[in-house]
Amino acid sequence: MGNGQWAMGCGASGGVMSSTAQDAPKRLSSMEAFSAELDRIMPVLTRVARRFAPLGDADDVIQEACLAAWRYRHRFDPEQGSFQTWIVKILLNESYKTVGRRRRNGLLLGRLADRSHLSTETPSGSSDRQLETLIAGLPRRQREVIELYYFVDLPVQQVADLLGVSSGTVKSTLAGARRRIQFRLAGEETN
Amino acid sequence: MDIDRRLHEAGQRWRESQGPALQPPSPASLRQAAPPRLWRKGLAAMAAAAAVAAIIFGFVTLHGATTASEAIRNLRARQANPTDARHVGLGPGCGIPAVDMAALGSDLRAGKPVIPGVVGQPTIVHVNIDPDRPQLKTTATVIVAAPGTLPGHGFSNPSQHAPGSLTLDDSGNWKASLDIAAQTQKSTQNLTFVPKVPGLYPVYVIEHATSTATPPTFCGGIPDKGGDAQNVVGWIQVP
Repeated sequence: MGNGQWAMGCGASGGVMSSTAQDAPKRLSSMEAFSAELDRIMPVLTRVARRFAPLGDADDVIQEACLAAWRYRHRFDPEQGSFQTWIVKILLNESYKTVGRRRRNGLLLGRLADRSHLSTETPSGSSDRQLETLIAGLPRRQREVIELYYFVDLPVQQVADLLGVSSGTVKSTLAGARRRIQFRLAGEETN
Repeated sequence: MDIDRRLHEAGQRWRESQGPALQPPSPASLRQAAPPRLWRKGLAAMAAAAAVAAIIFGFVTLHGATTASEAIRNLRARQANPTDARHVGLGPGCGIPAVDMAALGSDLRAGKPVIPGVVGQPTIVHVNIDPDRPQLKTTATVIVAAPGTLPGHGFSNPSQHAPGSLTLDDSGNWKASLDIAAQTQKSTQNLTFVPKVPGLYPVYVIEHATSTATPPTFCGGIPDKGGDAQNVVGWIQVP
């Protein structure tokens, strides 16, 4: 996914398709092509929305982000990164906007409510719930990189492109977050 | 257990626990989406565009003051002499500005009034609810935002939203705010803002039309799916 390449898709379910950077805006201007590319990256978008949007809002947030991307498709610059990175940026902004709105309206039930699938009946479920709690307590930037790297399963370089930082910064942020989680885990086990 | 491995495994379990991917908007929805607009760079240009197409339901009147008591005197004086009042109109529809901007002289920035403020002293934002628009079930929030704050995502060019940029999405950038329910509140309200540091503070109005069966047409900025719009209606300049 280097510069000059229009690379789509990521992860196990996303395919990869490349064309020249000059072709990208033309291809995006076709509704059918745009929809096809969206279909391709929906697994990643779904994971991002489920990790970052308030409980029950993931679907709406994705719809909003996709419509905004379609509206502003002429602004997509393949030299600045992949289409997936661009649209995930929009999705993250849309998620934060929804969180802010819910918070202002007093309707945010808490991010942990989103983790209901983690069964407490199994040791791993209990352990994951503990991890989720610690992740939720991290500073925003550390939480973002942990969520994007470990849960959304994006590579370091893509997380870096997404957050507008270097891959070295992402790695050091990840290390800091892991240290903090480890420290708190140790504290909880001691108690 | 190694924390890195533990996080990887937790992430893997989480992904496996998820159902199928959500569906993107249908081509029909995309077709209905507003066509791309050519945006000028910068907040000032966005505010100018908003001036061309002013929106919805009320007036927001801005009055500057150096002290609270002086503000009250000024307010009364201006109420007694409406020709002296500096106000910005949120017109009741597209292209119906409610104020003659030319009459405001040089005290403008991007077509919006600039009100002087003083660090540590209250500045009053005087909000008049338009009594002639009771049929619009619209609520609004008047916000004095931190200097440099951009509209939220979906209301401006996404390319402006570089990492680290201030936006209305982060309520931490709201320095003072006032919620208004237009269908129930018709009288005047005051929003008091006490600047702590110098700067040019944008005054925003966010309108929400989510409670209407048929959202009114917004012309300033880009409305989102829920029928919201965000616009700069003035500035508070604190030297």
